[in-house]
Amino acid sequence: MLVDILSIFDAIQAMDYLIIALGIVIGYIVGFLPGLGASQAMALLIPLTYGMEPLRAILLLMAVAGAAPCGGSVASILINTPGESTNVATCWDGYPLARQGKAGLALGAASTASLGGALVGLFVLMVLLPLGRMLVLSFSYPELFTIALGGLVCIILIEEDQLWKGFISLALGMVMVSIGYDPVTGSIRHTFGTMYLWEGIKLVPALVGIFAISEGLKLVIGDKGQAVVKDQSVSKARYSDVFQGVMAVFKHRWLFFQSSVLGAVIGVAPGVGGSVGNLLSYGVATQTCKDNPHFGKGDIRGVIASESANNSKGGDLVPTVIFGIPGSVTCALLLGALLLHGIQPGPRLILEKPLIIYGLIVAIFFSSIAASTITILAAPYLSSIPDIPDNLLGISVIILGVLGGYATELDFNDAIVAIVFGLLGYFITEFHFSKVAVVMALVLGKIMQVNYFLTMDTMGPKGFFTRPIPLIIIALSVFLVMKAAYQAKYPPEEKPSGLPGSMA
Amino acid sequence: MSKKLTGHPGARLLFDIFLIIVALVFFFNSLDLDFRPWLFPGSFSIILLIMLVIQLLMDWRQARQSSRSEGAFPAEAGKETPGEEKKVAVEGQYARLGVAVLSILGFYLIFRFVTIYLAIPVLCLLLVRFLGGRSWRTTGLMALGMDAFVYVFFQWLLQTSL
Repeated sequence: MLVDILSIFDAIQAMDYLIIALGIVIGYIVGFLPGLGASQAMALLIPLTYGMEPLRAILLLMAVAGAAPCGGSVASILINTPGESTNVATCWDGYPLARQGKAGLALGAASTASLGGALVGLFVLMVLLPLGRMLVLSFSYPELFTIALGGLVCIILIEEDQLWKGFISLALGMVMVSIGYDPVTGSIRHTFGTMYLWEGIKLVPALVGIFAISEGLKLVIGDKGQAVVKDQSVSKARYSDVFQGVMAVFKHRWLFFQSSVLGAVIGVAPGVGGSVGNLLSYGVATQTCKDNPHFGKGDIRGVIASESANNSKGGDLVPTVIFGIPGSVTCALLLGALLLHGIQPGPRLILEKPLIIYGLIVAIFFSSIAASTITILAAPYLSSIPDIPDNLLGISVIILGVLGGYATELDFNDAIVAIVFGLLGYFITEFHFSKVAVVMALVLGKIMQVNYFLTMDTMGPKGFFTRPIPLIIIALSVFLVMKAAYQAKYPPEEKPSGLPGSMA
Repeated sequence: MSKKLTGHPGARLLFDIFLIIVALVFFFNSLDLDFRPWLFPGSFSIILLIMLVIQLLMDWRQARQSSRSEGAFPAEAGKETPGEEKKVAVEGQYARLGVAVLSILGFYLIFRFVTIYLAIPVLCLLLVRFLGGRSWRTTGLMALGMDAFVYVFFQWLLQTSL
């Protein structure tokens, strides 16, 4: 496997290394910006990669995805503002540490744990890839349909207290994905007399709108949750503190190992990714570590637990690469980028375009190392970076979002789609529906439609219930939904724990 | 089912009604299709419609409960409580959102029918100067900076026709 991966170095040229370096810089900066992260950066960059070679485009996007969490952890520690949801748990102990004059310690530990987590994730991906090849060859339509179904169920179950709204969001996404021609019969559906909609809602402008423009709107109108409040009492970091932070990861190596493996394993579940990984890993750490009352008040173990889990991109990539089912939001965007470049994601990707997959691995490997090194070397300077006004940041995101939507195919209708989805994304977030469920339905809906009809044509309804994998996935999905619904109606009594109640 | 109150109750109800209208349009539109192509949009629009009606009823009940609980404490009406501050902030938030959306639509129209290099300064004027309350200097620098970035990145490097 390693030899296969090393073959990528024959395929990439000097320009590709520059592209990776550019992706690292963009990812790191965007990851640091409040409210923005890898998903927004990728959403803005995907249209710009349109004219690139597919491999080069993937290298750029994955370099962004690999570097952004590291930038996000810096913002979480220094200004208590997570770049995106993957860094939320880092705030809980990172910022208190910075307030105690230990910003260097937290930055050193975060960058080392983040790098280690990324490497563990890649190892998991490399171990599972050969097995994935065997698996995909034995997969047929019912398996693909039920895997997509299981992925959607996992996505809804992420927010257990919003289960009902998750289902509504999913149904909304499934209705929207039915716009355009039927992939099996070719019938034209819901185009309202517009030829533009014959191909359905284009994924890239929709993603740009729902992730980037909606965040831009939030920032522009001054949503308080996004406000950057920089505390002047945060002290400047020193290299000796940073080194102590690096060593802290080795000191708490079992916690690091537990958290990074947990992050990678959670990432394997479709649609979950680092945002759940860092929270769950933090929660597990509070339960398994001794002296847990320190968690939430500036415990370096909290930073290590969160950061080891949130950058396990390899875990997220397992379902993305092997089954074509996104392991996280960034992976959903990656699938969108592959489609844009005429590459059909799915089980045959590994057989037909192995270089693309090896490119993913190499880009994440380099970007994780580079981003962590940047954090360690620049920690003393990073701690004095001034905050960027929300308003100016928001307007830049909106302009780039609208332009990004348009630039994909130089079609003004795409810009309208981006704006409409931006507004929809804003309200979806505002009223606690699920943006991720809508997007996942847009990505997985067509796969479900095609494989549902093909199963019904070739095997009939029994195809779903007589084969072991579909049967297990359907049973597990039903069980998980019933369990979540039961827990929503009869919530278990809360146990006292060291988990902090809020980020602030 | 969700019990969390989020956003302004009136806006929440309006959003529910908007989604119901969307689901109804999709449902009636799918009636023209034969059974097989109908199956995906048709079945999901029915499911969406039912869930949204339930959500609307839940939100309506919560909105009524919250308005009753406000009426139950008239003595508190004149005081500035944190809750009232939040309500004013939320209403202001929607007014600002309206201005932002209209500005973006204006930006789009100027971009489409005139040029992006005029659309950006106009958007900056509306969102940075008037909505954001920043100085003319900041607004001008932002507009010039974005124009320069768009020209260099999109038009020069990527050869995008703008």
